[in-house]
Amino acid sequence: MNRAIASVLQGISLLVGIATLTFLLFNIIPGDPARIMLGPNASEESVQLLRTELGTDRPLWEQYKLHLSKLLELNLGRSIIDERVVSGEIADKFTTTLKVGLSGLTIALIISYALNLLVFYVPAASSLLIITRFGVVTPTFFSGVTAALIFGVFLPVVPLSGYGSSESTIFTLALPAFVTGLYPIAVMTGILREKIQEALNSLYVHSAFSLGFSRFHIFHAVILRTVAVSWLAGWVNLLSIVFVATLIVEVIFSIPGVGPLLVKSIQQKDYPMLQGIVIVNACFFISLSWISEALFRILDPRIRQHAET
Amino acid sequence: MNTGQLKGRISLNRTLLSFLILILATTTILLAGCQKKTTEKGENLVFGLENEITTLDPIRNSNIYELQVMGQIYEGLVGLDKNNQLIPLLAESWAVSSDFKTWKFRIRKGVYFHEDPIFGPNLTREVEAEDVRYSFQRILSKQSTSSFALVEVIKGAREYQAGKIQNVSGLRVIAPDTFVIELEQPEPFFINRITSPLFSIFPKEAVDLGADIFGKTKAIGTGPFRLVHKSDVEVILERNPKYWRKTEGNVKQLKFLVIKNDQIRLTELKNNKIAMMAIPLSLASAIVDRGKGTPSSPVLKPPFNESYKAAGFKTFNIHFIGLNCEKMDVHLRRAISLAINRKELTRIVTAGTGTVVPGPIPPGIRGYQTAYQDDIFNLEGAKMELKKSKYDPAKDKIELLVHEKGNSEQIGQLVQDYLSKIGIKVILKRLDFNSVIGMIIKGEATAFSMFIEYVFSSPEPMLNVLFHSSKIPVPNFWRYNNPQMDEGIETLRKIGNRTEANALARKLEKLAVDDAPAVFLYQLNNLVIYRKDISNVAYNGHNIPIFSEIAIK
Amino acid sequence: MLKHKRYIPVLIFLILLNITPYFLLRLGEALDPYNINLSLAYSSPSRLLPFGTDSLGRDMFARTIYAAGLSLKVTAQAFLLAFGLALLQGGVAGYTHEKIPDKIISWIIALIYTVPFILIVAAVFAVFEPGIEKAYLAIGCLAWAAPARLVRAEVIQYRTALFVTAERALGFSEAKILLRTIIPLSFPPALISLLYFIPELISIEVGLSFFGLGAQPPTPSLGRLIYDGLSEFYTAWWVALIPSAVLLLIVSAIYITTHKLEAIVKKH
Repeated sequence: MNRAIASVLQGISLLVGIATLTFLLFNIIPGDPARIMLGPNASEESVQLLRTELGTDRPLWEQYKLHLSKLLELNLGRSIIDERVVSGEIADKFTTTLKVGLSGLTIALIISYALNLLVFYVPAASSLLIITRFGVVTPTFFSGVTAALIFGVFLPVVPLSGYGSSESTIFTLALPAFVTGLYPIAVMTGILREKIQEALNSLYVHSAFSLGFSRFHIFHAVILRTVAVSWLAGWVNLLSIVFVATLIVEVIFSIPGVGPLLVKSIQQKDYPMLQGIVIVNACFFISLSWISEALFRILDPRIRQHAET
Repeated sequence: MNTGQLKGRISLNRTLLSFLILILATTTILLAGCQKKTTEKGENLVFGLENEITTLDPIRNSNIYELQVMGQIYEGLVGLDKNNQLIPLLAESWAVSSDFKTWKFRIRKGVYFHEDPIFGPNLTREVEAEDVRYSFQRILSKQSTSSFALVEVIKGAREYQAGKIQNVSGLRVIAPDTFVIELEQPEPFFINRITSPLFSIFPKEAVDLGADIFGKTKAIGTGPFRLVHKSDVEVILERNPKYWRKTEGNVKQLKFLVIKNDQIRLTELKNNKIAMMAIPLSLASAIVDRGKGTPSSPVLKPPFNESYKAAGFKTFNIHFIGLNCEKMDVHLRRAISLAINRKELTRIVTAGTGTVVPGPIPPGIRGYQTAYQDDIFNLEGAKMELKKSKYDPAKDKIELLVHEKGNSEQIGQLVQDYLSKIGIKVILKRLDFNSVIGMIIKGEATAFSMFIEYVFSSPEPMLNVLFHSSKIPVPNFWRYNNPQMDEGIETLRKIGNRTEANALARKLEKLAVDDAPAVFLYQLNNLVIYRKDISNVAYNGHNIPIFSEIAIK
Repeated sequence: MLKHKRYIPVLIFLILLNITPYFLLRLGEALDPYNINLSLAYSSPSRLLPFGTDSLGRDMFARTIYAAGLSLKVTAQAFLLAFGLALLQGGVAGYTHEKIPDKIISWIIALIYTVPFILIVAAVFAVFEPGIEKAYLAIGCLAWAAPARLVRAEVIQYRTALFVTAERALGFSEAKILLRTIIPLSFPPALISLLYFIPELISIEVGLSFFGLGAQPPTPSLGRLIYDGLSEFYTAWWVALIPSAVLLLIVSAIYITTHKLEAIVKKH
């Protein structure tokens, strides 16, 4: 119980710290939201009137207190650009981002599984696995735009745009999810291959073979028992990397998720929106790390059990 | 057969089976994802947009794409047709007093707002003068992004914005069909200030729904199309069956799809997912054959010329290099102006889609003929002017601000190269667009690459906002202060005759170019590519497409 | 000192990583990457111009070489900064496990993980002017977090190890133990993970250019070249493709080398 309370307190202090850091960084970046909204043609008088209305000409300390108190009341406020409700907007966009990210991870899962299955049966195909390394090596911007180019110009088999529109199907997500999944594919394939090779050399697998168990059976038995844990560990780490990749992919493929929203809120200097995004994002990752820590504690004794058998 | 062999057989079958399933699954996924070439036949038009549509609320407009969609849903008192002629819209007729300060508008009868339950059981109501007053007043509010065009022009607007008075005194309803605007100063050209869709009329009932609905899920105007559905990446409009004007077109459903990546958008055009799009600069050289065709009728390269056509339209914009008159003397400015090879620069930067315009007034404004048709490039003249100036080639340098919009960086690099040929050292400093604006306003910028998209449709307000000394620091970005220019601009307020006014405007334009507070480079034309079975494609000078006239065979 | 022999290849690699950029930059400058020659604009690769020219007629060969040098230089600088910070912070944090300095540093690390990197980068560049010179600061300040965690974990393990207790009993000061024994033992995993992170560092630099925060025109960096080239892809495919190929080559080479180095270091 004590540990739980300590974690919650730590989480809250982290959130306050994040909100503070975001506020500081935001105000270091030059740019006046009132001027940005009204454009270069508006007179200084009009801009000053809007500044007073928005509250951006108050001393920084006052603004900070205002935003922090609103946050502690769990009120994310309204965007200063067009007064839409921040929480609604973020909920909408975040769901989309989650969909893209999870699809990417799922595709990575399927592909790394399939690749390893193939190599298990056809050891000569292990050179194929080298191709997956590209996922680690290329920046997401780069692979995204290249993929768009390849599948757009040379191989038009998947839809390229229109996610969120009335015409989108499940396949509209295919290409963006694939690009998001490139890094996880590489990592997961690598981990799986390592574990399988380890297992292939172990005693109990050798005995399983001699007992006449099929390769199919052995492959799945190995995965489910030994690998699940390390895969799980990989997932949580992967999640933050996949999240960043998702943001980039959204910008490239015009997907209305958190990515474009984040970029816009920095460009327009819309602090409530930016704070909302950062806090929701932070809460998401903090809860994820709690879950993974808890999972490890549950799974830990099982690992020890296995090692003993 | 012993157990081992049996197990072996079964496992072999299981293996084969699982492989088969895997292959089948993969193929299905790939095939299903195969693009069905959706034929957008019939009277549906899908247009590809370059950026998101955040809101369709006229007073919160922040980019041209939103404006283009708004131009189909809303209407103002007047507008521009495809030849940039002034046409009456919600104002049937108007008259101006002899001192050019009072404008009286007769509101057209029989114009109804788009049908919506907010109007009660009748689902709609007729537009009245009060709606016009309400809309204009809202446009003048503090948060309105378009108030800058009218706040110092309409009587009482400044006080209203500052919160000193409840209503704008210069906006008056005389009768349900008569509306009066009173100006602070005489302006025979006032009518040309309100031709853009920024000055549209909308109903109070819709605005009262709140910021989460008005402009986001609902947008109610009087225009030829009504809003059916809107998300950040897609807008669906439907032809308004009760539209008051007779139009030629037959487009029943108009859909706007946001596809940010240029290459993807072009591919979607080829896949027939969209039928029409603007040609961005990045694709211009690849799609347009510059050797053939004219700026208004460009010729497409194969294979595009088989299924598509292209058209070019002049819109009211000017790209320039601004020079801070307080930091640079007139000879230095003239030297810079004469040293830049505008023809070459425009050709390279705009890939042939720009028109060289050495003066501030963009061509295309009805009745106005710019004083400059050609480049004023003169290297020898530049060197002579440089000698007369205080610039010291050994010590001095000029800092040129560039940003991420409108080819600014490329222009900057070319200008750097040109000026080095007469001995001027240019250092490029790249900031984001808003920071550049900030520096210009504070007077810290020496030279800067910028562009203007005019909201007005006649030369007088353009000259006024750019060169009148009272407009320093914004929009008189270069801090130009010349009593002769001020006088000329004030005189324009008294000239009612259009021909006379245009003649004076030309003289003032010549003064502006000679004094070189800015080096005006080019006007960017709007190029559009569309499927061959679409006809009657037109844009007006405000860069608004006129979809109501478009016909699909 | 026998145990340090396996680090020699790593050292050589790091030295190479820092020296190569300077050669590339010199070479690139000698070939003139800035000369604008509009009559040659958009020339495709030929014998005279092996990589063609860009939209302003500048030699892509010179620009790519210079850009590669610049990107590598930034990466190397960011690497050193990140590694130094990781050792320092990770070491202190691990050594003072459960006490205040550890809590503060862990807290800062968590902060870096959650605040969007775009925001941090934009702020860093707002303070120091945008430009490739200061890019390593932004990148280094972000990249130290993950290796620092690893260092911390290792240090936590070692500080209760038997031989450390022995050293304490022998009277060595805490600082000496930390610096002489624990840190050298802890940095292999951090070093290897940071080496694997180098492709990420380069791609952050590429990403910066996409936001206009990398090299300022007319200075070429790989990110800048690729970004500018992508918008002209239809007209001139080589302007984007060649820097991309070079980028892939560099990153792959570093990756393979890191793989081999890891095998050498782990052999014990």
